[in-house]
Amino acid sequence: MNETSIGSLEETILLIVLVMQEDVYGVSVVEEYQSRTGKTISIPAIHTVLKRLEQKGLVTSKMGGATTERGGRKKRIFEITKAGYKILADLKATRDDLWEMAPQFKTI
Amino acid sequence: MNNPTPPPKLADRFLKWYCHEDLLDEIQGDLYEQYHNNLSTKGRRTARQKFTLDVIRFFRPSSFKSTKLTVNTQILSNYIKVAFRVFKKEKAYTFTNVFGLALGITCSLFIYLWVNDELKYNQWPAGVDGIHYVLVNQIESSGTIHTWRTTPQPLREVLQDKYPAIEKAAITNWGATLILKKDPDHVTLSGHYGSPELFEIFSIPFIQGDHQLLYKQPESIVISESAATRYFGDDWRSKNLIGQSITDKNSRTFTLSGIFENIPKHSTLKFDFTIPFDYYVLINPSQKHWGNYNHNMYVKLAPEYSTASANDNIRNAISENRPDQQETAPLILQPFSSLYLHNKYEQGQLSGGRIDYVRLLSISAILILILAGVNFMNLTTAKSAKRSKETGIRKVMGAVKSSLRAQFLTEAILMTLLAFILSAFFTMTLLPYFNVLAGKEIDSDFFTPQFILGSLGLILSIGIISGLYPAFYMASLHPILSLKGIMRADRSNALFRKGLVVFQFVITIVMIFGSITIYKQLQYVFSKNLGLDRENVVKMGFGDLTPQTFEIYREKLLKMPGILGVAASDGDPTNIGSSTSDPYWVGRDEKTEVYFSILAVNSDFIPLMSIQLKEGRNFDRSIASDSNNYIINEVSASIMGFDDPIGKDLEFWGQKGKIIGVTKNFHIQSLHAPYKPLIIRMDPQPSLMLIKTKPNMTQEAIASMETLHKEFQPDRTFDFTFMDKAYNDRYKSELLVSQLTLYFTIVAIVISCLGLLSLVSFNTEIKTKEIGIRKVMGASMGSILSLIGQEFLVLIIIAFVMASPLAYFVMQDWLDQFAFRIDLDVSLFLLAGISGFLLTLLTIGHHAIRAALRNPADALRDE
Repeated sequence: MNETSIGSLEETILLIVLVMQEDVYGVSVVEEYQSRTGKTISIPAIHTVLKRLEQKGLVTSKMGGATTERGGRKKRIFEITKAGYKILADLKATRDDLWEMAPQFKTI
Repeated sequence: MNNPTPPPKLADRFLKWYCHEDLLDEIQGDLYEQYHNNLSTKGRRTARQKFTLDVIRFFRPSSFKSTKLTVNTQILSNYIKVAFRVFKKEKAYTFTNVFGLALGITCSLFIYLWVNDELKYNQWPAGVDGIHYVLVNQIESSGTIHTWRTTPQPLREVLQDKYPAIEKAAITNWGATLILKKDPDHVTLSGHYGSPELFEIFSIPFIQGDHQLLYKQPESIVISESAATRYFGDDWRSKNLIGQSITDKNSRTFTLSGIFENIPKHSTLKFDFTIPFDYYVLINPSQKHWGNYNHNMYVKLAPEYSTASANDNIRNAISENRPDQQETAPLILQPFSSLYLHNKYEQGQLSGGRIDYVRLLSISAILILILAGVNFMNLTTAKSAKRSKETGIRKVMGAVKSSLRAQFLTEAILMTLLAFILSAFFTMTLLPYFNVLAGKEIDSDFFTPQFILGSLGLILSIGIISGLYPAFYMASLHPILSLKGIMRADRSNALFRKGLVVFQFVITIVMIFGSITIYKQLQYVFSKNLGLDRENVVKMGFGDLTPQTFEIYREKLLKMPGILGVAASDGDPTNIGSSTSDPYWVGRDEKTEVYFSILAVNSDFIPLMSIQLKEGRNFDRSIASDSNNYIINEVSASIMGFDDPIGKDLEFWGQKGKIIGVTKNFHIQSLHAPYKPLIIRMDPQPSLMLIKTKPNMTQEAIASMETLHKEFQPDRTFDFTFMDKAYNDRYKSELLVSQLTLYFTIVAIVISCLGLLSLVSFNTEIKTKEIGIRKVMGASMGSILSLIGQEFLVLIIIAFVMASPLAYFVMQDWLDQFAFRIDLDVSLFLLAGISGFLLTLLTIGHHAIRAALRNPADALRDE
């Protein structure tokens, strides 16, 4: 496989970027992540993940608007790329295929 | 923004400081925003903590500023290129500088190796902290305390059984040799009689067998692996040798109980075999006596005891347990690990020993390193001043101070690096010679990565520290002045360099003084009239000779070429070990505690050694009662308080006799100690032959001895020692220090002269025009020489004045350890001062004369 591979945290964050669509930047991703997964994550960690995704060409970014809360500092707004969407779709397809074949867990 | 509680200032500023400008907005923005959110939801405290924590988490290479932290490699390579051009252009300067520094580093490196090796001693046993050696203080009624390294045999059992502080105690005698037959030759092993607990105290591992048999059977033995190799051959490991009988030359048979691993070479305790102490007591029953202080005692402390508390516990073990006699004799415990370096006791207190030399040499090493560094600084400053035009042009072209500093520092560091490489080369080349000189076996395996890293760190710091002054000085010069080549503008600079030269010469003069003093004291020691003639005397052990066969041997030997006389004694008269407080004479105060050294001789001894009799007569073999009579020395006579000692009764070791003679005092121990009281008696069982050879006929005498030896004791190896050599060998550490100081002094002189040389060349260069003008105006050669020389002589005089008291205190302290010593008189100071003076003249002379002889026209046309 010559394609980029991503870890599970990267996958989750990439999904969040895809779902949120608008105003995707550090703090908003942190909040979304926390509300979706119930787990906490720090801003430096999110920055690292986003930067790595960008290096892999799965997201792009541009500098966006500032707010008073940010002390007038600009945000880096992220957006998913086609490659990013494709990798998520591929992952989902693989998993769906597998789930098709999974037996029912009787005990549950 | 009107925020009532802004984020922590310090963390925010830290973020701004390290964060890359491109990233600052998003990172800081995100952190601010989250801080703001947290402030309302989680409270101020948590918000602030989280902010700070996140700032720290962002502190990683990916968010760092890059531009200012990276080194501009292009500029650096330019610095290096310029540096090598300078080295090439100024070959002599570079060489002296690098050489001086390398010399200093090499010296310090050797000292480091030596000290390191010394510190390794006695660290080898497992649990070394608990292992101690037992010493005894013997207090004379005069208040003098003698510290003995030997203890009586019954003490061992008492210590081990009665005192909770002692877990185990082991005793050994002073050493023994074992000669084993092995065709066609003999194997001579050195070891001791020792109690088996020794192996438990020192946890000595066994390769075959163990030491248990030593507890049960006196005729048993354990040997070291090297002894096994020598006796059984290289392939002994493949055989099971335990239980074999080993028979020595005297047909004594021992059962082999075990073969132990070799004792490491860095040890004061060394042996190749142990025969149970029980065997020793069996053949020498007198050794069981409480009064016989003859043995080494090693103990292992119980884990809960420290040295001090254990010492309190056992201090009075002798007085509490000796049944036959009242005796104070408090015990001292000394950790085994310190036995090698701390081996001197004064008045019952530990007072140094070899550690003094370790300290002395360490200090010298540091001094020499400082000297070399100072010299480096001095040379660099002097030389860089000559490059003021280059600096000026660089400045005019827009070089900033920091880049000029960096340039000079790069040069300094490069030069130290060269010096380091050179000194590594020196060290490797000279190491074998150093090993011979110091009597060590240091391998080159000290070149470990840690060692190289450590020394590189040291080198870099030397480079930076000594390059710092010139770098700052040059960078701060005014560009116009430096372009004009005006160098003496700065007075403090000149003063600084003069200060350095004075400092160098203080150290050098102290070292010259030190090496002269040590040399003179050793000359004194070696040439001192000991009161007996140790020249041309050969010592040889009795071996198998009995007193009867000795008489025949003696008669025969006397008829052979080269032999002047033959005498016998029980030990080397220049190094008497045994002593006793037993002697009784009429009028002795019962409470008087005083120790007399005992020497046992035959009637030929006193004339052979040319010992002077003050009164009375020598022993006479034709007078039978003389075997009970005594000869004493002057010190003994005065202690006994006899005005006329001849004919007085004297009794000791159960032998009543009369004093028949008094000798003049002679040295029976090293010159560190004062004259001691001595009693000489006739020896029923001598162990040492003293053979006086005719002057210049030593070869013939040795040949005669060997012929006779083959006839009388064909089984024994022919082994002998010259008495004066044995005497000199006792001052080995002093000799070593004397040689090392000499070499150090030479190094210090070389380095200081290099410093002086740089200063004088700098000065004459500055004064070129002044000298030219003076010459045009008719100044004589002499007046110009004195113009240059004056300044330096003043410096040397200042250095001399500062060095003298320092040298006096240091050397007086060293001399104080000798009871017989030279005086530090004016001539020594003069010698050191004059040699300093001459060195200065020699060093500056060439430059001064060249400057004075120069054609003034050249000097004045110089622009």
